[in-house]
Amino acid sequence: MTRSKDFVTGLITIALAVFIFSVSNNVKDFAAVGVGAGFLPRLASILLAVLGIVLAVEGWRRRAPSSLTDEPSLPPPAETKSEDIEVFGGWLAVLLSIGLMCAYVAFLDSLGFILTSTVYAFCQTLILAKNVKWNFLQFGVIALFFSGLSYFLFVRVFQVLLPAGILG
Amino acid sequence: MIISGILSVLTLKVIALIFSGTIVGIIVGAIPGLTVTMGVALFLPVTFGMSPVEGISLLLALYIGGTSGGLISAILLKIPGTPSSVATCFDGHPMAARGEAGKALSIGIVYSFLGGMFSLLVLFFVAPLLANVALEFGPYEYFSIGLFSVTLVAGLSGDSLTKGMIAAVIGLVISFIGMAPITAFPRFTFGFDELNDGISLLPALIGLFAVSQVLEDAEEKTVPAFVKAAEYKMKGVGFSIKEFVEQTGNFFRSSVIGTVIGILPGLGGAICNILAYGIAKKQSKHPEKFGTGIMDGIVASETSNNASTGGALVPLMTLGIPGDNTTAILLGGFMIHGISPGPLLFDTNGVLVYGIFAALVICNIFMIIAMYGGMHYYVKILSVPKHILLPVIMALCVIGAFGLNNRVFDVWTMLAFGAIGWLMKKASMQTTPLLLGFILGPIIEVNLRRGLMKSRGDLTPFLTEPISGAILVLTAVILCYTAFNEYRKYIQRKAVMAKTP
Repeated sequence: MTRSKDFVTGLITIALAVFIFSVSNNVKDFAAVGVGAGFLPRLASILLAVLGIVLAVEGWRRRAPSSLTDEPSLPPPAETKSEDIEVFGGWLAVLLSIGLMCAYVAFLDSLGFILTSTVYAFCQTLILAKNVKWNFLQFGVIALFFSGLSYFLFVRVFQVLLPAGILG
Repeated sequence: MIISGILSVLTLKVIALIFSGTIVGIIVGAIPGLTVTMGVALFLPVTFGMSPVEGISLLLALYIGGTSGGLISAILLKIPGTPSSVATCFDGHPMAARGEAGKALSIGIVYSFLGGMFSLLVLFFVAPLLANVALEFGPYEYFSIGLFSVTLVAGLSGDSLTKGMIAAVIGLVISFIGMAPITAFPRFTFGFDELNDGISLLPALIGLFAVSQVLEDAEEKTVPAFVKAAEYKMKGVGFSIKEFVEQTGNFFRSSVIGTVIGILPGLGGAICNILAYGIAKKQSKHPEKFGTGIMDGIVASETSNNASTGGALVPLMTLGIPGDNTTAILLGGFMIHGISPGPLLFDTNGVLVYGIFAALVICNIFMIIAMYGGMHYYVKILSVPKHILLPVIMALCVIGAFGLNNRVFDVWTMLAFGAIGWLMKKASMQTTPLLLGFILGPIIEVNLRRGLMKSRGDLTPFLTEPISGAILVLTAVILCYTAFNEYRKYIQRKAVMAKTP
C-alpha cells in the first residue's frame, strides 16, 4: 500500500511542479541586478519536479510497509475489553464532512453564524458519532447551545465581528 | 525596563488571563486528538481586543498548560494527549497500572515545572545575547538561517527526507502567492483580488492543525470497544527526596535536550520527549527496566517536553523564526498585535519582552497549582466524547479565520488548508516543513534578492561572509547526513527483504 501511495504522491508532485513552472513563466522579473520575482518560483518548481521523480521511483521500488507517520507510533489504549469495533468512516465520511464544511462556509454570510453553525455542528456530530446511538434532540440542543454561546461570547464579550445573517 | 515589564504582567486582568489560559491549556492538552497548536490557534481571536501583554500572556499560558496537560491522558489512559507526551505513556501507564497513578502524575507535574523553569533561565540569559548578535545580521545571514531552518525541519522531523523537502518546497511556493517583494508584481493570484496580500497565516494554521483533525476523525473506521481511565490518588509530592536526588542527572540531561531541540527551528516537544527517553534508557544502568513503570522514563519525557517551550521562544523572539508549530501560532499572535519579533524587539519593545519573561514564570507556577488542584476535573473532562467536541471546535475555527479580516475568503482558505493537511497525512507527509516553508519563504526570498542587489548579482558573499558561510556549510552537512542515513536504512531494508523467503 505504501508503494502505490508514494508512487502516486510522486506523480502528483511532478504534475504540481509542471503547473507551477508554467504559471511562473508569466511572472515578470523586472530585475536590473540579481534575481527577479519569477526566479524562485521557477527554481522551486524544478526542485519539486526532481523531488517528485525521486519519490515516485522510491515508491515504485519500495516493497516493505513503511512506518512513516506524523507522530511516532502510539501504544494501544488501556483496558480494551474486546477487539476494536468497525464503524462508519473512510473516504465517504471525509467527503461528507468536506461537503458539510463547504456548505457551512457558502451560507455563512447569508444565513449568519448561529444558523449555519447549528446546522453544521448537528450534521457533523452525526458523522462523527461512531458506535454511539444517535440522539437527535441532544445533538441538536448541544449544537444550538454552543453556536449561540460562541456568538454571544465572541461578539459581545471579545468584540469580534461575525455574520449575523437573517437573524441580524 | 525589567521592572516595568514585570509590573505590566502583575495586574489582576493579566493574572486572571494567565490562570484561566493555563487551565484551558491543560484541558486541551489532556484531550487526545486536540493539540496545543490547535488550542492556541483557537484562542487567537479571543486576543484581538486585548493589549499585546494581555493577549500574548494568554497565549503563552495556553502553550505551557497544553504542553503539560498531555501527561494526564498519557498516564491514565495510555493515550498521549499531545505528541509531546508520547514517551510518557511508556512508563507512566505501567506505573499507573500497578496502583501508583498518583505518583506517576506527581512526577510528571513536578518535572514539567522544573523543565519549564530550566528553559526559561536559558531564555532569559541567551535571548538578549542572541538578539545582540542578530542585530549584526544582514541579508546573507538571514537567507542562510532561513534556508538552514527549512532544511533542518525537512530532514529531521520525519522519516523521509524527500517527503520533508517536498512539503517544505510546497510551503515556499504557497508563500509566493501575492505581490512579489521589492517589485510588487502579482504572482499566483489567478485574478483573485483577495490573494494580492498573499495567504494569511492564521487561517492556514487553523486549517492545517484543526480542520485536518476533524477530517481525520471522520475517516476513522474503528474505535476501541472500551477505554477506562486508571484510578489514582494523589498524596503530597508523591516521591521521596532520595528519588528526587537520584534523578538529578536525568533531569539536567533531559532539560538540555529539550531546550536545545526547542531552540532549533521547527522541531519541538514531539521530537524531544522521545529523544530524551531514548537517551535516558541508553545511559541508564538498568535499561531493561524502562517500559515497566520506572520514574526515569517519566522524568525524561516530561522534563524535555516542557524544556522545549522556553527553547522554542528563543529563535521566535530573537530572529522571528518559530521554534515549533505552536510558536508559529504565537508568531501570528505577535503580528496581530502589531509586534514584529526579531532582534529589534528587545530595543523597541523591551517592556513587552520582560513582561513575557515574567508571564512565563507565572504560567509555570500556575501550571503546577492548576494541575494538582484540578486533576479530578480534568479526568472528568476526558470523558467528553469527540463527536460533541470536534464540531464545536470547527465552529471556533470559523470564528478564528473569519474574525481576522472579516472575510469569508479566509474561511475558505482555512478549509483548503484543512484538506491539504489531511491529504498530507494520508501521504504520510509532515505538515511542519510546509508550515516553516510558508513562514520562512518571504524571509528567504527577500534576503536572497537584497543580498544579490548588495553584491551586484554575485553569489560568493553568501559563502564568504563567516556566519552565513558557516550556516550554509552546516545546512549541507545536515542534508548529506540525512540522505546518508536514509540510504543506509534502504540498504538494511533491502538486506532484510533478501533474507525473507
